[in-house]
Amino acid sequence: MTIEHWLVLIYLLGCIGIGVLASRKVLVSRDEYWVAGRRVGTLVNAMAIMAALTSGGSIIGVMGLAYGRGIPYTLALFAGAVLGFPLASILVARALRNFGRFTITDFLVFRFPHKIIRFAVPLIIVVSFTAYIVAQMKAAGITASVLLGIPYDTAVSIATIVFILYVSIGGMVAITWTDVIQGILMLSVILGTASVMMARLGSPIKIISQATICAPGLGEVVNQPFGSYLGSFVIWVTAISIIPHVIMRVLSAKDVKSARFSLNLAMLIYSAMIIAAVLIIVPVGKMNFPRLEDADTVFLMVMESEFSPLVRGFAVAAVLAAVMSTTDALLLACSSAISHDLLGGIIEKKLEKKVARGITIAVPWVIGLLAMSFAFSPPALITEFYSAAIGMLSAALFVPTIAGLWWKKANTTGGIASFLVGLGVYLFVQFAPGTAPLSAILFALPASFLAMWLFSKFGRPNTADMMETVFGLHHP
Amino acid sequence: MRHREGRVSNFYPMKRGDLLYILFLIVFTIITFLPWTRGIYIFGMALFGWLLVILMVGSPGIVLIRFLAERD
Repeated sequence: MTIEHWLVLIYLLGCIGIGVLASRKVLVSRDEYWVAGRRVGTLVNAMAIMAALTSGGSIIGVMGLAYGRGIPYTLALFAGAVLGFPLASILVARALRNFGRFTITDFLVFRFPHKIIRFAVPLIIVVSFTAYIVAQMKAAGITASVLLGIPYDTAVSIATIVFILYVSIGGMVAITWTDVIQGILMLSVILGTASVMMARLGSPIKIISQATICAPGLGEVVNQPFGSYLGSFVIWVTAISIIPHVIMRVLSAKDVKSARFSLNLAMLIYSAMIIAAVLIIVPVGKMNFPRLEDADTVFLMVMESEFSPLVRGFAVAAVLAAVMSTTDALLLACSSAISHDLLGGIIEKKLEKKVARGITIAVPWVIGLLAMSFAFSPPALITEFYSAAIGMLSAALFVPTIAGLWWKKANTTGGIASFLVGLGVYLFVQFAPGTAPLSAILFALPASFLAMWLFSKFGRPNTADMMETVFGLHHP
Repeated sequence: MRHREGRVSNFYPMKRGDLLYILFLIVFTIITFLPWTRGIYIFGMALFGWLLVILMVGSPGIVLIRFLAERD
């Protein structure tokens, strides 16, 4: 075994160890398992939020996307995610933290009490998050196969087993601890690599100027239909306010102020990392490897050509950290969609504690192994793939959530209609021939808004209790 | 929040500062996505890209500055 193999092994065993330690606390309390007892500190939460958002897509995928589709297109997508956080801190953080339950489904079921919302919302979450998990596994697989020489399928299997293990037994506590370590690792590797490139080649301005002479497409806006640029931006701006694994971080914060501060601090750190990756590392990759078959391997090729085995070992650990820090959060959110949202009534009331705990542990295994089976035939350009999946979630949930929180006239009929219309239009446009990639959201969101406004005119108006409760979420 | 005497708003109240911030972001985003930003190049990258970089750093930065100012 080489140094890189040892480093990765130590890292993976460390994650499992944290899961075991956390399990002693979390397996006896729902609050501890799903939201770490709602007492995660501000800085810790900021690092964990940053790590949860920084997926394999943010490390491997962002550079692959910039390499393959140009830097402006990539920035449009990631700027959307960054902007989504300050917006979420204003639009949803206070109210949902005051709401005090565990998931976004909890809020939507409270606000629009109907079986369609109760069952369809968790199902949509499971489908879109499984796609997100599959994309992350590809990142883990190609990293291990390029840098460690481990076959892709083996690498995917090992990474999957490790993160399922510590998520299933350690819950949100294990995820928080591992996310902080993973966040530090990712930040160090990306900013460290960028710093070394700058020391060798000059300022980012000099690097990007040189790279765009060799490959003008890198800096141009013409590579994709403009609907794709705007669509990818809008997907992520709107998704952050409803995406379950971020919402669970908000619910884990010790109070509202902490939640809001964490969200924005996380994004400042995240922005620094993305900007360093696309403005420094990608141009270097483009100059040195102008004709890569798989664009998603550009970061790995740069690491292999420029750094020693020890540094490469840290890079592999960092990519695995990026994959696992997001996938663990996705897996927990997915599990909560099934164990808490869909089956919660049965598990809590009708089953013995031991059986209930067994189901809570088993669900991540089922989802994780299912995603792994899909990951053996991975998608091209992982970031575009999972963005499309998250777009579906955004199309279905953004309008009901925001209108549910801010518009007094939003009622159950309007909520159901906006959910179904948003979802239906998104899927129709997404799979229609000739649609620009990631542009379906541009049709789905206006349709969802219209449905909310129109159908809220019908159906029963909200009760005074409901109105007062929602007011209380903004002003406790 | 009342718009006119006797009329109650259909929206739950939002802090003025937050509302202005959201409006500023919307306007900045619209300007960024206008066609004119695509044809101007600075150091090899379209102005569109550079404006997005400003947005990525500025949007959380402004909220953090406001947050710290409120705390003080």
